[in-house]
Parts: sequence; structure tokens; C-alpha cells
Amino acid sequence: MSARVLKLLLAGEYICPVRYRMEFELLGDTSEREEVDAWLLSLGMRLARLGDEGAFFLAHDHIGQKEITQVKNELLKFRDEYGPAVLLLDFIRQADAGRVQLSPGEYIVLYQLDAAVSQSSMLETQLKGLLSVITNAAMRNTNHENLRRLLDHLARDGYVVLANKDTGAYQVTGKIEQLYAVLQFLDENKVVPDTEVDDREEVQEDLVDEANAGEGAQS
Amino acid sequence: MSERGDQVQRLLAALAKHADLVAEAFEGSVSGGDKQRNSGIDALFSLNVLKPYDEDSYRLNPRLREFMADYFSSYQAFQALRRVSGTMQQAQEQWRELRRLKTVGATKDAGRLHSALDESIVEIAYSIEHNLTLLHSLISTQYGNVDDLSSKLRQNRYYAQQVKLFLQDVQAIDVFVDRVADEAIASGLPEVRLLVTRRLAANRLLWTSQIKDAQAVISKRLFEAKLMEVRLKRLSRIALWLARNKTSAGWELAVDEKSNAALFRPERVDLRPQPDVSDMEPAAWDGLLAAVARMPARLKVASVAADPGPQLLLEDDAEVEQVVDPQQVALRELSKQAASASGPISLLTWKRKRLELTEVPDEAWLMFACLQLKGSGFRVEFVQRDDLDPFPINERFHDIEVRCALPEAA
Repeated sequence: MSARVLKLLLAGEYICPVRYRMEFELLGDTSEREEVDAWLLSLGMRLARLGDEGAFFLAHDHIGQKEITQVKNELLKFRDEYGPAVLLLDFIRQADAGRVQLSPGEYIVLYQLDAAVSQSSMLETQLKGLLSVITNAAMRNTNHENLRRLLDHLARDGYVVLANKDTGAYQVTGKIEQLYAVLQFLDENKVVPDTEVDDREEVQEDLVDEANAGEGAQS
Repeated sequence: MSERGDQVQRLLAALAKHADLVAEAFEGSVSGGDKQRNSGIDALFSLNVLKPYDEDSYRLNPRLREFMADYFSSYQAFQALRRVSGTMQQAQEQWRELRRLKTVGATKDAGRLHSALDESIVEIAYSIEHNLTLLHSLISTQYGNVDDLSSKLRQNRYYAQQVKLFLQDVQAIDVFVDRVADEAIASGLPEVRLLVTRRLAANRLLWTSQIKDAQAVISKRLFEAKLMEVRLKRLSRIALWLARNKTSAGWELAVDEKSNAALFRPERVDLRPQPDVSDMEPAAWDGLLAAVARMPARLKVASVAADPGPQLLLEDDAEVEQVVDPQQVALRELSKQAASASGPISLLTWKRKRLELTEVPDEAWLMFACLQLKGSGFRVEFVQRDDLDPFPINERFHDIEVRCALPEAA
């Protein structure tokens, strides 16, 4: 049983292959996982996972009233708890014009974001609107500097990790799936009616599919 | 070497001679240039290696391109899987004719048909292998022939359809193989049975399982991609809500113990190990000593005075006798006198009249009285000697006169 794995879990970290590759691989071993789980069980905790293949994290073996109240409070203060990450990640999604999927392991390159912002006044205005959310960002800074601070903010929150300092490449970590789980919960509770949002586009069925469907029907 | 083999060698030699042009044509079209280049293009054109594409523009023969693409696993976007139904139909006809020729006893033609059938069977097997290679290549590179995500997704959907047709083809081959094997025994052609069994039937299960694996991966990717789209849409929707409803902080929602465990963020459990001083293990003991050595030096505590024992408060009515300094008394009188005097008072002269000051040296009296009087607001003047020092460095005086301060000018 690795002491490092236990320390990370007790520190409240999400062990994903992007940020903690070695520890994640250790937990890939069933016997190691069982040992860790048994150890945590004596503390009233257990080893949990985001999805089937996502990051490992420390969970309570039994969810009590205290934990429920805490989550309720977090949702009540969603803007403070999760709002910054949602706004900043959504900004990256928009800046990258549909190519970035914000899935674990994906790279976000600072200069590409910078190029996108410099080519779009809309994105630039939007970035300026986010300055109050980004830690240490300021109007007097250049866009590049503010974008760097945006990514550093996300790195501090554990959603991305600096993969290459020279190229300014950041990598999305497995922790992002926790955020997606919260958003899914909000969606299941229909907190934001679909009619409120109009920038969603439906997946268009392409002609190839239609042709194949037609071919299949004929044969 | 047969004449045909010789021709093949010449063809390959011509290709090797103009390998640079062939390589260029594989990447795109080629155009004429200098004399040597033009002659190379002519030579390749005459061999049908290059096909005219536009004015002074040639492209590689698609069949040759296909061969190279197979070799380099370089595939175009939306490249269709090879259908084997056509070749299979061809093989069926050849088999039918082969049986007829066997019946009529045309041995020579039957031999030719057998070779042709062999070739068709090999081509079917090759097409299937090619399709599998193409699928594996595209899936492993996540449709690396395009960058756009939506195009990747469309390719994924396209190949999901293609794989279905491919699987149908392989199932049709099963039927073909069984039928040919039975008929070959009936017709007395066991070598044909051996051919289809070895080339097709033996690999049938492997191909089917590989196609199904590819199908599973494609379906999973498609599902994951759709899931990802949903996640991003959700992210954008909530972000938009946050931007539009700036006065709202969140929602009051019902959460219970059955809610997704991911909602419950792990709390940091601080660890602070304490040394076990009773642990006598050498390693632990050494570590403890090292830790002690690293500790800052102990602060020296001031020694506590010995207990003097119980104290007794004595109350005495006797007045505390105050010791009066004669100089202070003299100075007080001098200041009173100076305040009322009209002229200056010499400090030395005044001192000599006072008996209580006889033991005080003149210099000490002058310094003491001068500072005190000056501080009380009297004017003091140094009385200098008449004999002037030819090289005055210090101002020399022998007495100090004090007088009442003049009223300040308004």
C-alpha cells in the first residue's frame, strides 16, 4: 500500500492519470485498491471514483446529515463555489471554436487562446468581463497576461495542470469530471430551463448518414 | 525469367528511375518543368503511372496510390471500406464454370479457371485484411485525417455504418465458403475445398471478432463523443445562466445520501505525525536524536530569586526624612534673586557668598547652574578673560552672569 496514495487521498486530491500518473497506475491494481479501501474503511471513508474510469478520490463511507448539508450549502452558493470554474472553462470552450472538448488529458495552449482572443473583439470583451472572477487579473494587464492568470486560476483549483512551461501548454485533469457531475445533477433537477438558452446547436445528421440509412432501407 | 516477368521488372525499374516524381505525385499533382523532368513525366505517363488531371498537371494512377496508401497506412477521410460482394460474385461464376469445365473434361481451361478462382479468393481475403487495417488505423489515430471534431464525429458515424455492411459481407462469405466446400467434394475437386477452407474459413472467426471489436470501439467513441457534447452544452448553459442572473447565487436543491458520490467533495484531513519517544528501534531513535538536534536552542530562563519567606508589613508613622541637596536650594534662591534683580548676577561671586557651596568646585557649579537657569528661561552670558588668545580655538570664560530674560518682542 503506497503511503503517497494515502496522503494524496487524505489531502482531498483527485488522483487522475494526468496529475498523478504513478499513483493512478498503482490504484489500477485491484489488490492495491482493496488494501487502500480497507485502510480507509477504518476511518469511516472509502475509495471512490468519478465515473467508471475517472479519477480516484476520498469519499465518506456513510453519508451523514453534515455532508448533505455541506453539499446543499455549496449548491446554494454555487456562484462562489463552482461559478468561477464554470465561467472560465466556458470561456476556453468558446475561444477554441469547438475543437476543445475539455476532457481529461486534453491540452489547452496559452498562445492559441491568445490568438483567438486577439482575433475576436467579442472574446476580448468577454475576457475583460471575467477579470473580477480571475485571481490577480487586472485591466492594465495585456490579454496574454490575463489569459495566463486565467489558466493559473484553473490550475490552482486543480482543473488543469501546467504541462509545459515553455509552450504555455496546460492539460485538463480528471477533477473536471467532478464539476461535470455537479452540472449533471443541476440538469437533472432542471434548475436552468432549456428555453433560457439559445446558443445551443443540435447535432446535425449528415447527408452520409441519411444516404446510408436510405441504402440500408432499400437493401 | 518469362517475358511477363521481364516486363514487370522493366516497369518497376522505370518507377525506380523516376521515384522522385512518383513520390511527388503521391502527395498531389505534378507539373512539367525542365527538360529532364518533362521526359520523366512522359515516361511515367506512357506507363500509365501518371494520369492527366488538368492542363500540364498529372496525378498518380489511383490503383498505385491505393497500394502506397495501404503500405503507409495513409487513408483519405471517409474512405469507403472495400466491398467484397463483387469479387465474391466473380468467384461464384468462376467456380460454376470450373465445375462445368471439369464435367466436360477441358482440363487446360479448368486449370486456368482454378488459377483465376484462387486469385479471387486471395483478393477477398486481402480486401478483408485491408479493411481491418484501415479501421484500426483510423480508430487508433481517432480519425487523424481530419482535425475538425464534427468531421471526426461524422466519420465515426460513417464507419459505424460501413462496419455493419462489412460484417454482412463477412457473413455472406461464410455461406459462400460452406457451399463451395460441399460442392467441391461432390464435384471431385478437393483442392478447391482446401483453397476456400485455408484462405477464408480458417480466418473467418478471427475476422468476425476483429470487426466486432472495431464496431464496439466505434460505438463507444460515438457514445463518448455524444456524452462530451452534452457535457459542454451543459457547461455553456450554466455559464450563460450565471452571466444572466448575476443576483442569484445558487439553488436550494434536495440532496440525500443516495445522490451521486461525486457531489460530495473530499475534505482535507490534516496529518501531523508525532514522534514516539518510547520507540527504542535504532532507526527511530536516531531519527529522534536528529530531530532534537535540529530543534532551536532552549531559551535561558532567568533564575528565580530564592523565596525570602513570609513578609511582614510594618507600618510606621514616622515621616520619611527627605535629603535636601544644598545646590538645589542655592539654585532656587539664585533664580528668585535673579528674577527680581535689575542687573546681572555673577554666578561665581554669588557662590562664594554661600557657605554650603564651598565644597562644590567652581567649574561644576558653573555648569550645573548655567544649564538649570538657561532651562528656566534666564539669560546667561559668559564672562571672558580680557587677555585674548592669539590663536583662539575655544572661547575661554571664567564666570557666568545671569539676568532676567527680556520680554519677547511682540
